[in-house]
Amino acid sequence: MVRLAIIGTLDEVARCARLVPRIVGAQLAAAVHRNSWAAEGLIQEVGIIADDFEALLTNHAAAFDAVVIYGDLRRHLMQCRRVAEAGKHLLLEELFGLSVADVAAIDASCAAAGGRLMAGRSLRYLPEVQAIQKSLSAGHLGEPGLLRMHFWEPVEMDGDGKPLQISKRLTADRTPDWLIAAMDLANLLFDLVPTQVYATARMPPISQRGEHEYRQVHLGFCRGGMALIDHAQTLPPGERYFSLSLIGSQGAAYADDHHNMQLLYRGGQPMTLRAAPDELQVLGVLQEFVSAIQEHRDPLPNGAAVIRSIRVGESIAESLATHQVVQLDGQRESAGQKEDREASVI
Amino acid sequence: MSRMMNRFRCIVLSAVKHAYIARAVASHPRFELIAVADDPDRPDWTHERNQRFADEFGLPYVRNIDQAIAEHHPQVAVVSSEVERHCDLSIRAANAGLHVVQDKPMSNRLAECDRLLEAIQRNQVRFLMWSRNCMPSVVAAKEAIAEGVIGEPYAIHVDFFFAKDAGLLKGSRRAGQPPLTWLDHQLAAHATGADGGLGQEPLGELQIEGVYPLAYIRAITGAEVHRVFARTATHFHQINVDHGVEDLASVTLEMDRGMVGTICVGRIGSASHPDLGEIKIKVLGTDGALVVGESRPEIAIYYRGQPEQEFRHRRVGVKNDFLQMENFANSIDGKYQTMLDARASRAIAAVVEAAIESARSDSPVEVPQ
Repeated sequence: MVRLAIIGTLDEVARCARLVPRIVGAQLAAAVHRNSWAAEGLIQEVGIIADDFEALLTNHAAAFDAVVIYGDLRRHLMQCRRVAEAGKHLLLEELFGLSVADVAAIDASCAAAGGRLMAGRSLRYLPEVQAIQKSLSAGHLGEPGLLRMHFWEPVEMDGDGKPLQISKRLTADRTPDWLIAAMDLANLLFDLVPTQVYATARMPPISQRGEHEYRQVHLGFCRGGMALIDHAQTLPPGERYFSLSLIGSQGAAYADDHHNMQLLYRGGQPMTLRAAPDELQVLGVLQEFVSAIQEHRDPLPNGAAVIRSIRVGESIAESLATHQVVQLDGQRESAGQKEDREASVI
Repeated sequence: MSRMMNRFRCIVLSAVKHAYIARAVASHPRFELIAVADDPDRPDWTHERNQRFADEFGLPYVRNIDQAIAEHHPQVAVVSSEVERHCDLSIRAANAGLHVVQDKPMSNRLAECDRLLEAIQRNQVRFLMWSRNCMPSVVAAKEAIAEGVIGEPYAIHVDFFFAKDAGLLKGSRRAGQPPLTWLDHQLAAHATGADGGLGQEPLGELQIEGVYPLAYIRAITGAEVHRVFARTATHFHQINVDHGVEDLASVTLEMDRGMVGTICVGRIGSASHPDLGEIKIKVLGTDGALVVGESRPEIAIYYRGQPEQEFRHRRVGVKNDFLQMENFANSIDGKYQTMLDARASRAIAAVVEAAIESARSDSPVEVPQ
């Protein structure tokens, strides 16, 4: 049984407490919440509630095997490395949000101590992506030719319901985490890292924040593959939109929120209700993490896969700055995984 | 004289490709077909198809275009020939003072488009490129955006995949087996209407169908495209591999007012969609977004023994033919330019040519204005 410690908000801890019983081979052993008294209600499910990292590591290290960390890691890099150095397996929800150097450092710490590192919030575990991967692996779709993804999110708002000011963001104009996770998915589906990256962006006038709220990325792969992926953070407050199409030489798959909405009539134009629950993605991520630990293999996406994606993300930023195509080496995604443990990742 | 009395006499200058255009012209009360004509030195298959169309409508078929125009006094020419002859026939019609309804694409050569644009302007006649811009979903999207429901549009994406086969799959030509000529392949495809690239010269999907998504974008946003980056591939069909023309393409568009967009086009094989193909329009604006299934409204019909090739979903409420011809009639009456006139058609052809060049050069290309 893999004993998990969760570090996150109360909602994140409560969600894990609800989901972990559905994970084969997992047990929830501990949680960190800065207001541990608020988390007392979860003590029955969780067992141990600590105030912070230090308390967890100092007082309860023997009680857990792996740590799941939610939230912005850029503020907690040292803690991540310490947990890794303590030999604990690490699932970092926001790993795609770090730099290559930071991911490499954590990955190296994990490797040195015999632990495994995995990125959470991976698009690989969306239910629709899992279904597409199954068809792709079975040969139903043939050779992937074109991948198309859209992900449109609402504008980030502050506590007063106003668009978040640029000063409140840690990294203005950095390639958004979702887009980097999308690069990981593209690498996976083509089993290749792209050879060409061309990015364009748009600053809508509503923003006045001087940063890109919309990016679209055009990728080229060896063997003629191509991808168009765009990410927007301009929708009004409310629901997000996601769609993915994969056109292969023998078949195609289409996953679109447009198809998955139910209609709600309350006068005027009908509204839509989203049908699919989001928790399946979280379940998929957690199961992969636990299974990989039990099977003594790297969970996916691992540190090296994340680094490959971040490097594509850096190319997106370069292309936006230069308004030109950025050429990359292009390599096999799955071949890269075999070398993960041996090769230097920096 | 009442408006209904004012019918335009139309001559069909070649009906060898998409005869549905001439049929659409005939179905509008303001237009009547009076003859079919073509050049005498065309191959036999051309004359056979023209004659068949003429017989269907009880029209004379004249193997001499100048003679046909002189004898029948048309006011409008309907052109649906092989692609490489589109512009030549339209220019001759314009020089004879005829308004022109022409099949897409405008041409496979930008220089020809320029010649046609000049002829249309010099002769002060109307030109309508046949399109799908009056599909109910496109009309609804255009109206919604014009009303400002999503604020100012800033990004637009169109997927335009035809789920059609094009002969042998890639890699299936046996050793020693000679490749099919492009024309022979297109002639065979006529039965299913999949002969948009009819002619001697091979055409990729950007040239054959790129006009459709680009016309949607133009209709919905009114924006010109200034720069493109494209990727193309021969991914599905042996005919495309043999003739070095793409059957799959993706294009990044950079447009007026800082707008950006993308189109994806492809002849992706009949197995890849249960109906005509995946055609979607997605628009982002400053105050929201719009996601449109181009095929809707539609109904679904299923029955035992249903032929595999029969679409399970069928479009309903389509008035594309009537609305285009209504627009053309009003344009001839002097009210406005046509919905896809020669200037706009030339601009679209320029985008296509730039995209092909971009794919060839692996770099972004400015669209020649």
